[in-house]
This record gives sequence, C-alpha cells and structure tokens, in this order.
Amino acid sequence: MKTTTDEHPLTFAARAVERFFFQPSDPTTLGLMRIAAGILVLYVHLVYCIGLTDYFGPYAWIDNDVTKFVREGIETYAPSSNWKDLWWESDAPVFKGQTMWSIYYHVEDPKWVWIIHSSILLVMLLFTLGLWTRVTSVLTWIGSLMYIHRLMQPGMLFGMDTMTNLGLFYLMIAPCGAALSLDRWWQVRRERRRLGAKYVPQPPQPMVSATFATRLLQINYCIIYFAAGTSKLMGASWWNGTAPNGFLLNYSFAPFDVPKYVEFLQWLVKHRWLWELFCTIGVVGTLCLELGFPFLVWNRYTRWVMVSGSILFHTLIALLMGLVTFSLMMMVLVMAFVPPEAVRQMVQSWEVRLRQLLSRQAGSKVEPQVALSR
Amino acid sequence: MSRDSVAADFPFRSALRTFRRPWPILGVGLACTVIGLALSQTTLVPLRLLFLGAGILLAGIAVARRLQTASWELEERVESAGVLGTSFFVVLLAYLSTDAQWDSALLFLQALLIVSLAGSFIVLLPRMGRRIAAVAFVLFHFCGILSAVTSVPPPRSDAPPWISTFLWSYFYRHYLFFTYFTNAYHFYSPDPGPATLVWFHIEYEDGSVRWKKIPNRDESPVGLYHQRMLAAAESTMNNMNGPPLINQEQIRTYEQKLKRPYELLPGIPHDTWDEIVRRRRAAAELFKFVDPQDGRPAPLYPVFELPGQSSEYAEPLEFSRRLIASFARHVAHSEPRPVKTVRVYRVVHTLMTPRELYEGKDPLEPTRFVPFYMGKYDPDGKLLDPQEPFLYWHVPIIRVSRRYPEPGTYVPPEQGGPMLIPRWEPTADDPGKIINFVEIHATQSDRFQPETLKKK
Repeated sequence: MKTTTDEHPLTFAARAVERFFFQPSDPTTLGLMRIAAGILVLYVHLVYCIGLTDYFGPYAWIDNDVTKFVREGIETYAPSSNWKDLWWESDAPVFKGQTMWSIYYHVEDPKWVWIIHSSILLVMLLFTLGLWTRVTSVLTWIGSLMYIHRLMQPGMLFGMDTMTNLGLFYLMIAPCGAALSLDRWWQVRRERRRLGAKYVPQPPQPMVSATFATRLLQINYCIIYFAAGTSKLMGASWWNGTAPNGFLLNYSFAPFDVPKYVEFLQWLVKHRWLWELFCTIGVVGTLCLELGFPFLVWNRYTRWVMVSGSILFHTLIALLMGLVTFSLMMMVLVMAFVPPEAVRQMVQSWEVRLRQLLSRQAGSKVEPQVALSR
Repeated sequence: MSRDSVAADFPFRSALRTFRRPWPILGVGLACTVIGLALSQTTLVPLRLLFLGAGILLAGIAVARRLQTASWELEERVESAGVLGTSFFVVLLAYLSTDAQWDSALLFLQALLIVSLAGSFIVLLPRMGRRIAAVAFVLFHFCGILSAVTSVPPPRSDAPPWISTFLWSYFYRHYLFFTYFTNAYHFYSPDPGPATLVWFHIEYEDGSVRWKKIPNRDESPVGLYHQRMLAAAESTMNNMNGPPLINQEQIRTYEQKLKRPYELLPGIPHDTWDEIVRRRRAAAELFKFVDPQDGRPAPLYPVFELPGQSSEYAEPLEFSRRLIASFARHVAHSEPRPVKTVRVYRVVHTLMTPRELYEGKDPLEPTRFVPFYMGKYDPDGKLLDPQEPFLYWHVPIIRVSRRYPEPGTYVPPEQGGPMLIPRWEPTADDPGKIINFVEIHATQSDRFQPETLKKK
C-alpha cells in the first residue's frame, strides 16, 4: 500500500480500487462455496417436494389471488417532495404493484408444477456438481428466485431465503465452476488426451472475476452484520441484556422438544448470576461480533477471530433457535473471507486422505489421478 | 483465452465441435424462437413455451461460450458484442411472442433485454471502460442495498430517513424487488418478540369439527418446514397502525380522494370504527355464551389492559386479510372430507420470563396464548361474517373467578366496564377457572342471530 510521493491521490485511490476488485485470485474458494451452497440449495428445494402443491398448486397456502394483488395492487407511498405533507405523499400512491416474477404465478396444474420443479432440481444438481456451471449457475439463481417470488415476502420466506438468493447471485457472477467441478475435471481430461503423458495438471489460473465476485460477497456480508448490529442498538432489550429471553424462551423457535435443553435452562435459571451472565455474554458477544466484523475482518491478524466468531455465532443460532439452514448458508457465505490458499491446502489434504483411504481399501497402491482442484 | 482445437479426425466429432461454437448455437436458438413466434398464432401454448424457452436458453449458452472462449482484442470484442446483440434480438422475439397474461414472464424478458443490451455495449469497451462499468455496478448495487437497509422507520416513528426512502421508492425498488435484495437485515431488532400462530377451526359438511394449528412442530417432517410455517403465521401479523376510519364522513373523504371504495375485502364494505365498537359492546350481552365446563353463563367482555398488547382490536392490513382468506381456502381444500367453514384465529404466543421458568410454569399454559378472531370463511376463502362483532377482536383464554359472571368478578360499568380482569389472582376460597373463549366462540357463536346486531 505504498504510494510514491509524486502520485496524485486520485491515482492512488484508483489503483487501490483496482487492486481491491480486479487483482486476479484463485477461484478455489468459490468452487468450494459452490459445492456447499449447491448442496444446501438442493436440500431446500427438495424439501418443497413435501406437499409441493401446498406451495404452488391451485389451493396453495398463498393463492395466486394474493400474489396478483401484491404484483398489481399493493401501493407504495413515497416521501413527500414538498412541505405540503409532513412525511408521505398524501395525494396518491406513487406506485402500484411490486416487480416480482415467477413461472409459478402462471402454472398451477400439479402435473406441470412437478415437471418444472423436477427440471429446476436437475439444474441445481448440475450446478452443485459443477457441470456447465456458467449456464447452470445462472439458471439456479433464476430457478431459486422463482420460488422466492412465488412464496413472497411477507409470506412464507425467512432469512435463509434471503441468504440463499444472495449467495447464488454472487456465485452466478463468479467463476465458481473453475475449480472443484466436473467442468474443470473435463477440461483437464481433454488437455491430457490432447497432450498425452507430457501434460502436467496445473492449478486453476487466478481470475479477475474471482476477486470481483468475492469482494461483492464480502461487502454484502459486512453490510448484513453492520445492519443487524446497529438495528439492535435501537432495542431496549439489547441494552438491558434481556434480548436472549426472546429466543431462548420462545417455544416456537427454541428446541423445547429436546429434554436436555429444557433441563439446561431450568438449571440456569436456578442461579440468577449464571443466567444473567449467560445472557449478558450473549448480548455483548452478538453486538461486538456484528458491529466489529465489518471492520476487523479486513485485517489479516483479526480476520480469523472474526470468521471463527461468525461460525460459532451461527452454530449457536442453529442449535438454540432451530435456524439450521439459515446458519449453514451464513457459514457458506463467510467462507468468502477464507484465503484461497488455505482452501486449496485443505482440499489437497482431503484429497490425499481420500486416496490413502481408497488405496487401503483396494489393498494396493492407487495411481494418483487428476484432482478436480488442480 | 483459447479457442477450441479443431480436429478433423472424425467427421462426427468435427461436426459436433462446429455446433459447440457460439454462432451455430445462437442460430439454432434464433430458429427456435422464430418457431415459437410462429406458434403464437396457434393454441399450442406448451409447445410455444418450449420453443421460446429453448431459444433463450441456447442464446444464453452461446453467450456464455463466447465470453469464455473469446479474447479481449478489439476484433474479438466486436464479435462478442455481435453475439450479445443477436441474443438481444432472440429475447426480443420471445418477448413479442409472449401473451400479455404471462405478465411476470414479460417482466423477466424485459430484464433480460436490458442485460443483453447493456452487455453488448460493455464488452465493446476497452479494459479500463469495462472496469469503470463494473465499479459503477458495485456502487449502484450496494447503494440500493443500503437504501433497503435504511428505509425502515426507527421504533416509535413512522418516518424513515427521507433520502434513502426517496431513492428506494423512485429509483431502486424495481431492481431490488426483481433481484430480491429488499431485506433490511434487521434480524431480531429492535427487540426479539413472541411468535405468531394461526389456529383454524374446521367445520365439516357432516357437522363434525377439528382444530388445525400452524406452526406445529409435531406435524413438521423437517425443521425447514416448521420455519416456513412460522413465517407464514408471522405474515398475518401486519396490522393497521391505528383504528379504521371513524365515521361516514371520513369514509366519504377517503373514497373521494383515492377514488376507490373503502373495503374490508373486494366487494365487502368496511364499517366505521364507531359501528365496530358499538357492535362489540353489544355482543357481550347478546351472545349468550356458556362455559361448557360448568354450564355457567360466560359473557365475552373486552379485557381490561391486555398485557403486552396496545389494543384489543387488531385489524390486519389488506395484504394480511387476503393472506388469511387464502390460508382458510388452503386448509379447507387440504382436508380429506368436505369442509363447510373454516374459522381463523391469529394467536400471539407470549414469551415466558426467566422468573416464570424458575417457578416451574409451563410455556404451553393456555393463558399464555393471546388469540384474535380473523373471520369465518367458506372453502373458497370468502369471508362469511364481515359484520361479526368479534371480527379482529381479542377473544381471550383467561383465568377468572369460579363465580364469574357474578358481580365483583369483573370490572363493573361504573369503572369503565364491563371488562374482564386480565390478571385475576386466585385465592384459597376461589382457585378460579380458565375460560377458553376461543373454543366457546368457535362452537357457540353460530347459535346467535346476527340480525340482533344490525346497525342502528
């Protein structure tokens, strides 16, 4: 980050922006994110199979009269652009309807709903495997968004859908099929056939688009944490330390069906000091993480603390609030902060272990194959 | 960037490689779209959609292939722009072939037109120009997200920041809604609150009844399903900020100004607040409810100072009213037997305090549930009782004296009543009883003639 003394500040800033967004980087992290996000997205959409027509059929929970009203009838009032009204334009709404789209607004026949759903699941499977990723990543985002728009917000969506959409949007921009994918395996295989024995597989080339998409993910993740943290500062319960009551004792969220959890809570409330300490640590930890993350994650010395803190935080959310898929998706997104070298090293160690395991099972030495990651 | 190697070893492979190149793929895509356009004059809708979908998909594949294999020399960029421009033309043909009733498909195609057109200009730019365009996109995108984050009014205020709301309303809303980047990320803020549940009282054609409640962990095959049901119930909780319009004069002004009728649901006029309150007061006496536990009369008075609730009346906004009707319709059609009516109650499951947990209280204690009546619906989701006096009012599950409704067991008229006492304390002589007015209302309210409650 050194600048020569005669460099204009604007030039310096432009160079910094260029380095930040466009310095080529290894796409391996994005490949791993694609696999993890793909598995989650596939699971989320497989769950729709349980009562598919309850979501998209002619007698769905949210019928298409409601969606039509939202798309065409719901009114938006804008802030007043003069002093006649104090806040909102009182004369008339500025817009009617919301910009939403989905094939499920138009198709309700169960037979066709199943055909479309199966096709989208197939595309998501191909995306997870990394086959024709440039196209399937776009189709996966479009497919996922069609479910989101059909189920609507407010409707049957929750935070997990927001994070899924966000992850798929940036992975669509990213070269997430350039590593750890069938596309990559295919490419290496082609090269090997072409060049024969003299071909030595190389790791994927660093790519500008990998850095660009990773930065978008990182910035969005920081915005999520900062918005969540600052909005909590407006709440009395986050100041007096009682906020954890809202989810620890919330029967619909907390795992009250797990006897150990109830026993733990009952033991905790028997010792007021312990209860208050537990809640205070929870509140302070949440606020420190959410408000500190956007600043400290950029520093190489504090990054691992923030990333580990984020993983721990979302593990607790999954365990105490039952938001498992949401938490897993957040963990996938926070992977954007893990340096590609570390991911590559990890993947290679998995690969070595897998080969050792295979060779032990085969009872003989297995010839090293071309790694998907290389 | 490299081009595919062309090997002339096998004619079939060679032909296959030819059709892996962008232009032939785009040509096939264009042909598919033209066929789709031709089919727009016929009734073969699925076939037309298949051709149009295939045309757009092939155009997308051609673009992806071109951008992956082409270099960034000027000549190559011009050709890439040509591929994108042609794909714009494919999308345009698909757009022209799509019926107006497929409005959301048209919306999607409009976005695709913008993207392909913008893309064809951007690939023409030199490296610096492309990077400036990328940074401009970053600024546009994140400013939009920030406008969504900050355009939420702070607590106890209906006034969000002016600039972000202005930008959100006029500039970003279409982009953010289209891409679903509308979330403000205010998770569990400003304070985590209680969960909302929806209870359905289903009456079958044969006269039998049953309750269905969402969310229900026991009926959820996976956790994700439970979360969806929680979200569905929560969505019914969008309430009006204040009471409805107070009198006919206000309704006249409203209808003149907005040039539409003041309605509860399409075709059902909305009563004035004065009339709603009058009906509710009268109903406590006119609906001769009986407590099935002991056969004593159980007049349903409003509750005095409901803890944690600002009002005894909670009318949902139009969106939630329609959503509730849709839920009732769904429930009616999911039952194995023919359904006659579905009554809906929206319920707030109040949170337990640590002290209550310490005292060994049950999170499922009936009085912990705060229900509001949301109407009776036929199997098509039509509201059957828009003038029901308890519609959108709190219908409590409450502990009262065993002597209720003898004098002294409720707030008397001279003290602002008659009203139920919300925290009635049991004594050694009178341990009290829990009256489940939801059950009583669901099973007994049909007995009373609505004619007795006609407008004055």
